Amino acid sequence: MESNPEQRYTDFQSPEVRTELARRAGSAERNLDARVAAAYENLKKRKERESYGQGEKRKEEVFGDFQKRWWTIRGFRARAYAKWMKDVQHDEYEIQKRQDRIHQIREDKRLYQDALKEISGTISWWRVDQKAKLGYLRAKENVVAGVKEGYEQGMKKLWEFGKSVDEWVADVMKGDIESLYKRAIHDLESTKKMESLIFRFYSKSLESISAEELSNITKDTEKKKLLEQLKTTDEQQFTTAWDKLRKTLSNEEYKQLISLFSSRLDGKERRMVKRLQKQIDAIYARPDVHDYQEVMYLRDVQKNILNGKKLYNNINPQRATQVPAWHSILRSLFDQSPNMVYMLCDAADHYKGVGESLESVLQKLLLEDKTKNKNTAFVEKLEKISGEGNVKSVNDLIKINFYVKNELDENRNKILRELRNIKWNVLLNQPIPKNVNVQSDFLSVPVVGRDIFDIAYDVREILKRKGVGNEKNIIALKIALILHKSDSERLQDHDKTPSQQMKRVNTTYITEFNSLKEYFNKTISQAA
Amino acid sequence: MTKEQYLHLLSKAHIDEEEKEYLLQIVELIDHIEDLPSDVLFRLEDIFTAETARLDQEEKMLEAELRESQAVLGQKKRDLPGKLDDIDRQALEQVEQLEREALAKMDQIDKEELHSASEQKHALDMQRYQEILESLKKKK
Repeated sequence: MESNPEQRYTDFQSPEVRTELARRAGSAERNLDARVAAAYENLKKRKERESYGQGEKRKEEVFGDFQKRWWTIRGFRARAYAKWMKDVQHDEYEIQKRQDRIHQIREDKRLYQDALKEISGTISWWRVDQKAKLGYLRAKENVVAGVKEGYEQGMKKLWEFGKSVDEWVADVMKGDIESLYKRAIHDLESTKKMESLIFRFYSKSLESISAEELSNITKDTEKKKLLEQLKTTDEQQFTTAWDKLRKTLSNEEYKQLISLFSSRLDGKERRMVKRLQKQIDAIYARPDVHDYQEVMYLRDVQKNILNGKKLYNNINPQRATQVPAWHSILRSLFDQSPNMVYMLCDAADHYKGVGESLESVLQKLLLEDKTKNKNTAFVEKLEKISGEGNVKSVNDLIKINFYVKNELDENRNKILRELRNIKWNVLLNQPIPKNVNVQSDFLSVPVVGRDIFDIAYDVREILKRKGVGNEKNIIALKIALILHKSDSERLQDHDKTPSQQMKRVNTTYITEFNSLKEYFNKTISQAA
Repeated sequence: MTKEQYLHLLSKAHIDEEEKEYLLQIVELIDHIEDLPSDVLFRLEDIFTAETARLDQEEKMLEAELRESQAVLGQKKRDLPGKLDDIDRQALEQVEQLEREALAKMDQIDKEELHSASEQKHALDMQRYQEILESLKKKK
């Protein structure tokens, strides 16, 4: 028998059970022990009384049997105690397990809630406004894709949000871009982070790619040099080196390089790169991101126009014809920002009559460069910007086509003259082809703040793509007029629903020809 | 919240394993959670909201089970003294019974041994008489 029975019950979790068992086990065992000790004493006395023959030996056996049977009882009692204790102990253990899990759940819930709060802090600001705007942008995409209902729905969403398209555009142009495009700005930032993650993988791949393998990507010596440089670039400089290289490589070479990098990654890394790239592509494909880039471009253009006008005002007319001066100014401007040069041309166009236009100066300059081969890099830069590599948006393309291609080969002037010479009655009688939808085909054409002829150039490009033949210049002008007019009218009746606005545009442009004519003539006389 | 806490939460989330692997990796790779693209943040929001709801449900279920187990245990604890009393009483009775049986057995042994001893004495006496009788016969 253990000297201290209390020790056996200390494993119990609940103190009251532990105390009760220990108390009971202690006192009950002491009672029982006392009783057994008394029995021993009695039996011993009885055993030691005078015996005859085999009596003593036989009594000893009886005494031994008593001891044995007492041990059995003792064992039975201990097992019964243990069974009950184990049962309680098991229940307590199960309860403890549940309590621990509940505690863990509460802790995890708290963490999830903290995380949600943190995430919400980042994303909540684009929720309300962005939802309405994205609805509109998606709808706009639908219209371009030919799903007409989309536009109505998008407009309605915007309307419910309390803004007309023009108000929204006006907001954008006012400079509230950051709040309108917070999500796009955020995601464009995060693409940089994701790109740097991809570069981290590529940078790792580079360690096992030989210089020879790299130079096999291309036959061009300059490109080979850039590829070799990539190998010696550290991780921090990798992005810059990569950007430089990306602009140089053709699509085919780029694909080969990516495939070379991927071949050195393990399956997990390859999957990660693929998913990151997919995520980046999805961001760039989003309408709000696309629009943000467009808006930023337009904002840049606006800024450049203002700067251009300022410059032009300062220089013209005294120095406008001094080609050498312009030569250096334009070249240094072009090095800083090609857009600046285009905008100077644009500004020049608006300031006609004060001397030779910048456009013609630039034209001369380029011709001079081309014929005398004085500065091919300058010409190449212009030509390159009109190529695929630097086209970031539709507006880029329009502007580049507009200024570099059309303007510089005098085609623009030709079209301009042609458009200005179109008689009102010719314009009036020109039917709009059946495959052209004024309401939906020209949504990508910027209207706000532009002159009818500018709008007409963009419209003309779309008409060309639609296969409109000889009369496209007249039709373009007519449509530009409608777009311009309907835009100003939309601004006026912004309190009407989008569908009412569209209906009005559709029905009034035919019936209100007289006022259009007046407006048109006024515009022509101002522009001429 | 630390990045490790986000990883911990994500690893526990009930989502497709491939997606989980991607999310764990991208969270692991970036420096700050707010650098994640919005789609990923939206997805994390969905996942965490769903996990919170799932944990809510599990917590409610466990609380109900806990209440039931505690009630059962309470009853067991109340029954315990009585059950242990029974066991102790039975043990005491059995000891007393054993003692009685052992004493009875010892009495029986004494009786048996006494009887056996008197029989042996009688046999020895008879043998002695026989021997004396034989020697008297020889003397004659």
